[in-house]
Amino acid sequence: MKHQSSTQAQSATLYRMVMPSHLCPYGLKSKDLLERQGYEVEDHHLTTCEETDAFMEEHGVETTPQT
Amino acid sequence: MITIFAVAFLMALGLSWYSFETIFTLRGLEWFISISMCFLAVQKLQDVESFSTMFLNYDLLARRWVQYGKIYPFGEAFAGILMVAGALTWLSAPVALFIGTVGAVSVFKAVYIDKRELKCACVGGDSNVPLGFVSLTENLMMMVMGIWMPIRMYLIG
Repeated sequence: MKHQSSTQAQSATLYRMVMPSHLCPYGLKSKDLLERQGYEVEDHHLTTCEETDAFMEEHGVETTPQT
Repeated sequence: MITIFAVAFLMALGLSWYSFETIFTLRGLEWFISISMCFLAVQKLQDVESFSTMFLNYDLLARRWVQYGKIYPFGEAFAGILMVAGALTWLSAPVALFIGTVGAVSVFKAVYIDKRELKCACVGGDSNVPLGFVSLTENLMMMVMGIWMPIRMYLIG
């Protein structure tokens, strides 16, 4: 899932939970850190538990956020 | 949490006694709040990273600007120390008023408008204190001090 583009501005793809009842703090921190390190962040919001589960299933990961 | 306020209160009485030979003074009340601020800041400063994560669960400014969560404990300690001393009030009062107001609005929104059940980050990141009235009190106390200290220093004299 890592996007290491050859152009000058590095880009990153981030998947994080953004739900009405839960805005993931680690997702916010990831986004902030990436931006501060000069990455162009392609920000994907997982807005429901189903979407999050599906994402984790698809990519074989246990937790979010994922970059 | 109760211990923090109790010890801060008794320390304030002690300082009041030492300085004025009477237990209850207005300055003692100011010491109580400013010492409480310092204690609460120390709790947060023990693990700034974990505090800032927990803080993101409800603080409105930190959500927009993540680094604020790391500045907050230092700001609280800074304002608290200056208020214990009664020094540089022109600086400590705006800092306390600012972080107190942002905090009070955030806590009020999270607890009373959104009715969310959260843990309070006020005594650091690994706490079990529910976010609620006490958290609001911490922020309201800072607001009161941010308004009161300059009034006393510059208007009453």
